[in-house]
Amino acid sequence: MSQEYSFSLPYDAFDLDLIGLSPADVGGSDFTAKVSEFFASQFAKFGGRARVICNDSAKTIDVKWTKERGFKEPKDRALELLQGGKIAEAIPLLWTLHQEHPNDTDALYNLGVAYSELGQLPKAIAILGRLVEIDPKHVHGLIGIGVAYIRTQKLQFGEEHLRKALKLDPNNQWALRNLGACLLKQDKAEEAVPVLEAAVKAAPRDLQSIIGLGQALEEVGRPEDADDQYVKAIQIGGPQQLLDLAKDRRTALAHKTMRDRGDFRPDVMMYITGALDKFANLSTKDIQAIGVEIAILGQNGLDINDPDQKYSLRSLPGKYSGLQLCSIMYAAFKQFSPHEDVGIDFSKEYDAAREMRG
Amino acid sequence: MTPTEASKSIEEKLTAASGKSVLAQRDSNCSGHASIKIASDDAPAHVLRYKPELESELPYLSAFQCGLALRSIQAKTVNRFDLASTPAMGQEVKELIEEHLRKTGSPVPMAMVPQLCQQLGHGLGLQLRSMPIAIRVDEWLYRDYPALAELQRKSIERQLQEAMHALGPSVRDFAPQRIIDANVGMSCAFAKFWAAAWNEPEVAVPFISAGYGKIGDELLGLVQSLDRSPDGDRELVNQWAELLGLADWFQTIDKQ
Repeated sequence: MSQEYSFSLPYDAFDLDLIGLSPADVGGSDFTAKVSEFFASQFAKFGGRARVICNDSAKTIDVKWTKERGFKEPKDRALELLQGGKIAEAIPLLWTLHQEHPNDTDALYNLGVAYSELGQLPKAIAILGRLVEIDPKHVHGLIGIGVAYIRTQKLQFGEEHLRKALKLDPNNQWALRNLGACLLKQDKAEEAVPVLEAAVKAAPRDLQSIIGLGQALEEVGRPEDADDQYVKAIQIGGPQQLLDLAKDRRTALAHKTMRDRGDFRPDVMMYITGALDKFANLSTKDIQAIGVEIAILGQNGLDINDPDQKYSLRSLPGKYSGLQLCSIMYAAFKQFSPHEDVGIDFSKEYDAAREMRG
Repeated sequence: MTPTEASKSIEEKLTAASGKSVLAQRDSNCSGHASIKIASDDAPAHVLRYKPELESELPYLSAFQCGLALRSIQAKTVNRFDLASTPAMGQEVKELIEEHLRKTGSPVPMAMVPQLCQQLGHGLGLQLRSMPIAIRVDEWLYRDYPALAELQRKSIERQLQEAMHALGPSVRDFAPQRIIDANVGMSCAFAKFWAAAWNEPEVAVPFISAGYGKIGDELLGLVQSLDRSPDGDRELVNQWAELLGLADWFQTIDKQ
């Protein structure tokens, strides 16, 4: 039989240079995530079984591994299934573990979160409620039950549990992110802003927190700051649905900002006039190519508040500002697909430009 | 060749080199898993002591201890040495422990300080005296005596697991950082040696994750770069002591 190794390392004894964090990050959710990632990468190829637990109550990283093929504790197997997204498969195993060890906080937490993920919210709340009854300082348990309550639209209960979690771990990114979302759902954008700012500070690359902060900033009338957050999210990159959301918010924000500034934009009218002049010598196919190229470019967001001519096109020589490109795109689509909603309404300016050209 | 035959062959090398045989004794109080006392001029035999519960690993333990003794005997007289602690070691270890217990509010009572001084200071000296040379002996056994490989592995795995305990919070309750650093630094070199020999990098991960990867590499580098003959062992221990910041606490002295 192969040796089974185990060791326990205090949080503050872990070499932070290995994961690029500072002492202030120790114990935070970013820390535990990166520590787990570090060990996962170290054990990725050794061909055996490894288990890493960041024990928040003891502030230790507990690691166990062996090459013994038969080594697969039920808990490990359940976690493996959970990590692989096989939640329904993991439930029976987790339930068995819970029956064997009714007061085991790990078993309660995993089972409760699994129920929550599967949408079995009353069961999730009951199990996670039991967990925080046994260990009122179980930060992840408090977050789990808070999220489950939010999912059942019991927002005040959700808020209450997430705030309890934050009292214990003020920089916990999950608690901050979910509390921010919970506050937004309750139309408490003013309160959500500092919470989501803290979430972004705790996890600077977390798209959900960044986009949530953008939405909160929009709600409190800070569109430019909101736009900065959406730009940041797009630059970081990540799941397409989140990036699409950030892009959609940018477009809507730009549209709204422009309209808020006045009913009629003479500069837009002039850009459209110039575009129509150019189109007069082009085929419909060429105009279509210009419109589509700008639309594709716009998927990453065009900065219409910056007058700098920093954009260029393959299909139309020259340098253009963001607003100029939007104007050209609007005019172009009017030529080959006049009823297409291009996400921005320059109809007054377009009509005025056509009238002026006679 | 069986493990017992391999062990016997090494024992015979020691007997041939020293002119004295080896006497094995079960001893539950022996330090470490096993130890060997090289026969003085007036003693009839070298005495090998081993823990009774490790009887099944005796061929490897005996081979390893005889290998250590053999290196000592094969060195020129001028290079034979013992390791002695300096007067500063006792005083400084005591101060470090007292300060550590006060500063951390450790549950360990002050009355245990003398015992801890003995345990930690003496233990560190033993580790410094044996570990760098142990790597050389183990390397030799691993390379030239495959019949011992299975028992060797079993023993090394146990040693590695024991070394990992020094990383845990319970040891930090009573051991000052300077002592932990020296102890774990040496263990890291040991683990890195086996990680490379077995091509199993994971056995060094615990020590690397605690920040001892660099010192482990440097110590292991000395084992591999300095004179690898028995005459180089004394210099190796001196250089480990220097690198670990233990040169003020321990010095090699001519063997009496």
